[in-house]
Amino acid sequence: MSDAINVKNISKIYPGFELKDISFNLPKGYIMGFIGPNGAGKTTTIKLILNMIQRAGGTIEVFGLDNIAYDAEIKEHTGVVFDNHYFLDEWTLNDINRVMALFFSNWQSSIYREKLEQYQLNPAKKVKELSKGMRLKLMLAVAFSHDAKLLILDEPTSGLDPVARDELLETLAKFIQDGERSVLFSTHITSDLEKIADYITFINNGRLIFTGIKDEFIDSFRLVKGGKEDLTPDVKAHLIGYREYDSGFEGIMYTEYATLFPNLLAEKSSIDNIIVFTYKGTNGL
Amino acid sequence: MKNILNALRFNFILVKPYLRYYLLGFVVVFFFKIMGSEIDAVSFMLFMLLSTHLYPFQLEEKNDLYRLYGIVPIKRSVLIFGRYLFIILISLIDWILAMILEYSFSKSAMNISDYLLSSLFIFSIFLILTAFEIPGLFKLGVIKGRWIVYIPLVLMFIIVFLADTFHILESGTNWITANFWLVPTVTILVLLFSVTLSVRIFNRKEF
Repeated sequence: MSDAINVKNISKIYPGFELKDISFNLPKGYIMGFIGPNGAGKTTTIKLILNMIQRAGGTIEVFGLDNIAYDAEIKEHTGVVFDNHYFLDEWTLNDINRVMALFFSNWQSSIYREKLEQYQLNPAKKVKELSKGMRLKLMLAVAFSHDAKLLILDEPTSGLDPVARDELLETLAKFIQDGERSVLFSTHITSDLEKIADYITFINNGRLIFTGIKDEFIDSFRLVKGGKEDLTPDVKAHLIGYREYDSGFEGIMYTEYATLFPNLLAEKSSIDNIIVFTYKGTNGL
Repeated sequence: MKNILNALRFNFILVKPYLRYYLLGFVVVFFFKIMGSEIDAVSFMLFMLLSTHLYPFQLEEKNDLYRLYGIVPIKRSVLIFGRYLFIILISLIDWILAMILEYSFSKSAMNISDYLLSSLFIFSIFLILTAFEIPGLFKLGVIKGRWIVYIPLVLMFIIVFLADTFHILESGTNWITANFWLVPTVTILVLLFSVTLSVRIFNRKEF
């Protein structure tokens, strides 16, 4: 099984923030959810993969090719959807067709027009006249019109209504059907990932917390609950993060540790809870 | 080469909504000429162009088009070549239009070759000023780097002022006229240096 993306020990240093030793691989034909709180380093990692910023260390391969040496070859087959569009506000959707045809050697205007029709986007409209949902569809139309084998989405669903989000998930599920196409999907809406992601990579404060199969990710954590008297120093030492209430506490613990404390109520956790409590734990909240 | 031409076309699409402003200088100077003004069309139009040719930089900064550059399969250096070609081409069109306008409204019996030489000198000065300006705009952007536009202008005025003060303006002008081949040569060298510097800056730029 070859990889669409293979990231090894990448790092990037900014004043006040360091992305360190991030490694993960996205096999071809799958969707990977890329999660973490704000400022965790998700967008930085995506920009490193796209060679938009310079890395301090590590290697990145896309389709088995070094992402710097083969930048143009990789981008021919990579579609990118950001949280906001990357076009001129004044351009019409017809202008975008002309612009993209200049850059992508495999650009197919007929597919672009088909996609606009499918998404009910008027080619004569200007980008600034489109709603957020329509702009997302426009970026998807662009990605599909140059035969992208890899889709990278950086928080595209923030601000979208549930119907538009559901449509996107359906589109992504279809996109990977042939087993050759892959998706790296950074989002805060983890319920979307619970529906469609095969793999999860979780980073926090610039560090890798987990990368692997989604079900293993969810299985490796337990949401534990107990009374005030149950929150002993030993329990605290094994909790990744927790929240205290008047009546007790709840927190996240690795599944292997949860069995050490049979007096605590341990249940399967949502991805949201894993992110929230990990963030609390690493930031001393 | 095809990619560079595509990058050039991209610049035209980029400024398409604003293309009319590139001809604003022509309209204004045409109006002045009709009213009988003796304003020099070439100097005026090229001076106007010093601000209008900032449009591509302004637009890409305002719309964060660096993200677009980060996802399309094109070398950064090609984007730079495209931008320089665009600015040179637009300047060339403006210069030719200005010369035609100036010549059409000229009241004196003008020697065409003298006129062409003086006009070429002004055009070369304009290109040198632009060549100084562009790397700064790639480095700092238009908002932070707008002041860069004024540095070469101020330097030019200082040089002219000093030459005039020390009474070498006329002899200097005569020397340039006698060695006119130096003007396009220096212009081309300065442009090449400017392109190299811009490529180096843009390759290091983080999108």
